[in-house]
Amino acid sequence: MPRISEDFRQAMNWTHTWLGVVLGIVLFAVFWMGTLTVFAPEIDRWMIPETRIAYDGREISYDRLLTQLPPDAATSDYVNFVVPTERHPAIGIFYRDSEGAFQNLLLDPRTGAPISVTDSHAGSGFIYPFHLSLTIEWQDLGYWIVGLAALAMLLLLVSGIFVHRKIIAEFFVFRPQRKPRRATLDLHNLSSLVGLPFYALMPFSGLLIFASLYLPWGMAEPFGGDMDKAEAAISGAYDPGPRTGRPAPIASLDAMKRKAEAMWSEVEGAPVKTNLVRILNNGDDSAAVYFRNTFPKDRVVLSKYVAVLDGQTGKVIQNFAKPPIGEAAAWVEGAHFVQFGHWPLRWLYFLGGLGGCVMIATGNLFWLRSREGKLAHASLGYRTVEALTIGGVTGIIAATGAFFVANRLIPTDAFPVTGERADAEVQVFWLVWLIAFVHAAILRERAWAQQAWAIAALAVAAVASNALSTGDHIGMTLAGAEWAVAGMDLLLLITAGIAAWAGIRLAPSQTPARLFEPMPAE
Amino acid sequence: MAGNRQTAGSQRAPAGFGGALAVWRLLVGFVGGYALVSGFVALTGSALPLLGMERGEALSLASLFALFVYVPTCLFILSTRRPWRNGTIMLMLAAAMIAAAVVI
Repeated sequence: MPRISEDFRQAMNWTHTWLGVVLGIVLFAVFWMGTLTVFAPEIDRWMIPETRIAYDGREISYDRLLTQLPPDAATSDYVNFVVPTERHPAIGIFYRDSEGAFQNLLLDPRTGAPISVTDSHAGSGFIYPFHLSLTIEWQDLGYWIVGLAALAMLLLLVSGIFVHRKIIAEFFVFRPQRKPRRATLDLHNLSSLVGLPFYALMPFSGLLIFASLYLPWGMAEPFGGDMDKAEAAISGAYDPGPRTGRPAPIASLDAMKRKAEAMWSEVEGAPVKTNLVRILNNGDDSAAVYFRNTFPKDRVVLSKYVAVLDGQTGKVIQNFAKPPIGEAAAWVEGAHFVQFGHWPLRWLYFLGGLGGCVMIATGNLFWLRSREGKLAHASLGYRTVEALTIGGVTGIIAATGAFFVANRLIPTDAFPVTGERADAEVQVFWLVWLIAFVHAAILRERAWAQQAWAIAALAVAAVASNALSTGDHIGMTLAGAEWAVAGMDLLLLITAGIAAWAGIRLAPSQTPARLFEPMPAE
Repeated sequence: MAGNRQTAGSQRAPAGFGGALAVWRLLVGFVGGYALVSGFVALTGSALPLLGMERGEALSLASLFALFVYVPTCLFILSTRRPWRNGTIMLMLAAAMIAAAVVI
């Protein structure tokens, strides 16, 4: 093996340090929201209490649903039914309205009637998109920032192995009683190595999912620059072409659904269900119905099967199954989405995400601590990184807590400054996050403990306001085995406990000497 | 002791990372690397079908390997002792791949 030169190590050190400092806070935000996204459907049920309905696994008749749609949806040319599951007990429907805007509705699986729900973006509408794009939609800028952070994460992992090269020797070394800087570095190394394969898989698969967004030219060029053709070849996307303008009724959706599922099950040798019933060119004689096995419960691979049937005759127009390499890629993507039915693994993803948060936060902390008590401590650069780290770590957690509390406390008929009630919850999130950065910039180290206490208070307030506003207090949800709501409340209480403990430990009065102890060259 | 050499975050930039060189490394590594990986994906997706692979499969394969091209390229440009020469070679390689993909 060739010797690794000191130059190379220094270069890796430089790369690791500066990518970490510049993008660490973006990475933390993406990891934090990604960790929560693992439980996005459960967060949805907590934030939208009307959807806390028991899933009974009944067969849904989409023919019947089609007859009782609200007029706006019934006349839409693009109607999607999302098949209910245990984690999404309500039937989802989204459609394009007459003005071209997308509308979402939830239907009660027992009656098919629309459920009047709390207007909230909740987990799937805010936390999940934040994970992908920080919800910065302008020119897809948010996606590019997150993509750059994901690339940086891969570079950080590789360079980190060289920087912390004694990592194997230090794997079992954690010295919490040692100086804070030493302990921070131990915790950084420990949390990094424990989850290393997971931390590598997440940015890798995440970037792969958005390959066509990040490489628009490269992915389209082999198909003559036509991305639609590329998508059709890779994922079975289907374009029904323009409407003919000749109205025609649609054939039985239920019969078509059975046909598609039977076709897939025969190939797979096991039952395969559709997750999506999509009507294209609805009401026209060019109508087509699109079915997709997006999230199988017993497989990692996403969207392996897509079937498109003629809307009038029910004949199969397209029967797509992912070819081998496409299936391998869909497996990697499925490992990111974690939609398969495996609860222990889902919890491991959650813990892995939190481990990533610890790794990123301790990395930034180490940068700060190795400069504490030095001249740089007063510099603008140091103070900026310090404020970004505090606001980016405890600040975003507190802002998330405020988002939950706002969800329970904003009245249903509230008219905030801009837009709708759901947007007001999100505005609370951004406002609290902004305040956290300002707070950290002013109070510096003292902000840690105060923000930890804010997290504890908000988490307790969220649990209390859920109990008061819905009556589903934790005793009741536990007794009734409503795991989504009970789990969310329990995690909030655990968060409150940890935050309070951190608040006590970080209180400046107890550890000023240690925090400000100048670090001699070790 | 173990921590002796862990100087992550030393104050001075190491040799080869001053001013213009650092900017060149970052630009060529990230932006040039992006051009290279675009060229790689386009070329792989266009060339493998000539050998009989299905076009969609070739593109899936290319996208799976894209980061195995991008990440080492970035790290190489960030760490090479001859950033000007190797960066220029890398940019020329990216241009060649893009040109080849367009021609095929």
